[in-house]
Order: sequence, then structure tokens, then C-alpha cells
Amino acid sequence: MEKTKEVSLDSSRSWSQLPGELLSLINERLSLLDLIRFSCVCPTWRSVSASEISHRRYQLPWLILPNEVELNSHKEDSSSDDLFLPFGGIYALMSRRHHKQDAYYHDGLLSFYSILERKVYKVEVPDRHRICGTSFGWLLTTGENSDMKLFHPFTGKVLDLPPLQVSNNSLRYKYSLETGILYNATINAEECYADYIRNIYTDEAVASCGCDSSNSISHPAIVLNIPLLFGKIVHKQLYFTRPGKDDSWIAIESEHGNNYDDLTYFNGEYYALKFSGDVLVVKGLDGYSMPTTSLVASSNKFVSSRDSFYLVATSSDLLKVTRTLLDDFHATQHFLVQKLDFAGTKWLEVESLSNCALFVA
Amino acid sequence: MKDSFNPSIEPPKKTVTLVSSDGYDFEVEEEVALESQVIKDGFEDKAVDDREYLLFNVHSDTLELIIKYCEKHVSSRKSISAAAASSSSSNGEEALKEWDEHFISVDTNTLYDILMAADYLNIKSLLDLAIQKVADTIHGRSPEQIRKKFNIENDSIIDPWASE
Repeated sequence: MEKTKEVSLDSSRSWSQLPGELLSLINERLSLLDLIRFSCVCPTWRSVSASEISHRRYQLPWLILPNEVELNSHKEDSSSDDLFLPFGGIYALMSRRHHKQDAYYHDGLLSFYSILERKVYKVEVPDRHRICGTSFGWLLTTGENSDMKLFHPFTGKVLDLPPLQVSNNSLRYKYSLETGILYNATINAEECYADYIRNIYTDEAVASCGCDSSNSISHPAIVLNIPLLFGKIVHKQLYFTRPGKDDSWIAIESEHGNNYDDLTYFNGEYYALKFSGDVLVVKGLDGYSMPTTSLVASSNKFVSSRDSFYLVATSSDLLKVTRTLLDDFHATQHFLVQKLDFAGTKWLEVESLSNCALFVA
Repeated sequence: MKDSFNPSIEPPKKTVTLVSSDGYDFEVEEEVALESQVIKDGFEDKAVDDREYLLFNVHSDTLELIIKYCEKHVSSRKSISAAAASSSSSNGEEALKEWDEHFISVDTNTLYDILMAADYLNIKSLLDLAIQKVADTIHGRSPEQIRKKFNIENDSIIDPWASE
């Protein structure tokens, strides 16, 4: 075989334009961390990896570890004073021994524990902030002066939020030291959030040359369920902010009264669970008028003081979990899981979660 | 002279001709060409004297590598099964794995060509090898490092004033 060197082929080689099915095959071989980095390389790669990332979101979550705890693979028996706290897609593992300290991260490192791989991942984080909620991979953090940030631990993106000074009644940071948990927080950003941050940037550029396309952007909203102190009674009220649009946290007024047990994001809407067991949907967060709430389903069950409620979104259902404590309040007697029948606006008891696992704390 | 069976003389091998996109002929043994599922499909229907394949998407540089890979895998499979038949110990699989690893340790341009050719010719084991190499190359790198390695431009922010 005799041959001479041909012209360079470089011009036809484009890794960013690799056929989708080949990129998908590559995706399957990547760990979640590599996959997220992969998605940041270029728009084509991002569009291919989006479905794989959202698919893996429903796999076993990573646990956020307090930095002081050393978890070794050979020492799997978790000691009895560890507990799980549910935080959207990511779960925090806390140790009671440490929860009065700044447990989640310090020294610039945040640790995650992958149950599946039995492996600890350490991710660099910017400054000292405390995590008070997670959603779709974003961490909502608060600093010592109630300043708040959205932080994505894998892409390193940080977004400043209005400081949390909603009311003199707000329990804020002090409250968190006693309970280990500050606020329920839910964000509707999903993985398109990075795009949105870029949109703000391009929007400014476009606006300066005379055309205004800002109306076309649907603003992501962050909703918090904030404990407020009224005399000796703690009530939780919903507040929201839309980054790039609002410069403070705004209360969501409801004709159905306040005091919420839980909050979650399901199928593009925010749902809030009232102390009474009723479920409301929050409407109008991406519009220009004030958001409103409307009743989705009322509770048909007598609420006892031994019951606590959780609202959980799965890929297909909105679930209400009722935990009933024993008379002495020291242990759980049983759980009741119900799913919302949106057509009949009633709750149906769920017998089996099949492949799903719920973390309830 | 006695006409006895001599195992060292093999019958003449059947060959097929592979033509690269830049017009070079490669004559390879039939079983080597059959590593490609695309060639294998419908191979029997083709007349024996018409066994020529025009590979419009594979450059001669790449085709040379692909043939090298297929030849190695055909011969290794034979020696592995021969070792198994005589139940003699063999580290054939291990050695082949090592050979593969060495084979795929190429620059990203060559890797791209091998990947596309393996996909086009549907050579499953080679496609797997190339895909894994890409995944390994991505592993642990930041988006910026990945872009640099694969020569990808970050065109996510489009400059509206760019004329071309």
C-alpha cells in the first residue's frame, strides 16, 4: 500500500457536532459530576446531556455531610445519633453531636456522600455560608448577616439574593442553631438556571441597543417557608423573590390564612401544605401582579397534634406523608402516604411506593 | 511424492477490497472485513467477485488503523479459543486488553476519526473502546479543560455584532 499524506481533515472534525447518539453513549459512561461538567462545555452537549441528568435526578440522592464526620467505606454502620434531613434533591446527613456548629461546610470544602458508590466527594465552595435548602442541585445559603446566595456546587455559579430581613418577627439565624434547619426552600430553576443567568447578561446587551426582550423571559422564582415568631407561637409564612426582578423577599398573602407545614415544586407549580392538612397552589409567580393562592385539596382527616405532614413531589405524583407519633411523642407510630388525585381533588392512599424511596425527617 | 495433509499450508484466503474516501484500495481477509456489522449484513448476497466496498466516510489514514484493529482481534480470538481448546493457560484476553489500550491512546483528532469510522462501519467493540476513551478523557476535567482538549469553541454567548 503506497500512499501520500492527504490534506488535513481538521476542518471536518467537530467534537461539538458529534451525532447525538454518540454523545448519549459517552454520557452513559460518565459519573454525575463529569456529566454536569460535560453539559457546561457547549450548547449541543448541554442539550444532549439534559435528559440523562434529569433521569439521574431520580436515582439515589447524594447526602451532604457535615465536615467533621469522617465516613469510611469499611465503617458503614451509621451510629445512632446521625439523622437525615430532606432537602429537595440532595439530602443532608447531620450528626447531633455537631449540629450546633456550622455543620455543613467550612474551610472551603463541602462533602457529599454517594450511597451508590460509597464514596465521599469534596467540592470547593466560596466563603462561609450555611446551607438552608436545596432544589434541583442548587444550594440556598445564608450568611451571618442574613445575606443570601444561590450556589451551584458543581458549576461554581453564585447568584446573590436579597438579604432575608422580611420582618422583625423572623427567627432567622438564631433559630437555625437550635433546630439545625432554617427554612424550607424550593426553587423552580432546574438545570436551565445557568441559561437564565446568561440571559440576564445578554438582555442587558440587547437592551442597550434599543430592543427590549425582557418580557419574553419567564422569571424563575424562589419561595421560602419562613418561621416567624408571634408572641410564643411560631408560624411559617411563604415569601418569594425572583432574581433579576425583585430586590426583596415579598410575602405571599393568602385568603386561606398562613402557617404552612411544607412546600414543594411539582409539575411547574409551587404547592404548599397548610398546618391543617389542606394543600394550596401558588399562582402568578412569573406574572406582573401579586401571586395568589388557591385551594387544591382540603384535608378530610381529623388533624391530631401527634401528626406532622410532609409534601413530596415524585416524578409522577404529589404525595402527602402524614407521620403520626406515639402518645409520648418520642417515636413514630405509623406513616400514611397519600397521592393527590388532581381530577377529583381528593387524596388517595398509596399502598406501595414501588421503586421510590422517601427520606422523611 | 505423497500428497499428505500439511497443516502449515493453508488454503488461499478469500479477500475483499475496501476503498477509502480518498481512493486507496485495501485488500483484507474476508473475516477481518466481517468484523464490521455493516459489511457482514448482506455479505452473502453479494457476488464473490464483487466484494468491493466503497467507504466514503473513512479516510485511508483511519482505515489503516481500523484494519489493524480488526486483524488483531480476529487473530487474538483464534489464539484464545485455541488455548481454551487445549486447556492450556493463556493470558490472551489480558494481553488483548492491553493492546486495545495502547491502540486507542491517540490524539483527539485521531480518536474522532476512529469513533466516527467505528460508528459508520458498526464495529461494536471498537465503538465501545473509543467511547470509553472519550469518557476517560473527560473524567475529572473542568468544562474549560474539556474545551481545550477537544478543541471546542465556547460559542454559547453569540456576539450579535460579529459579521461572519
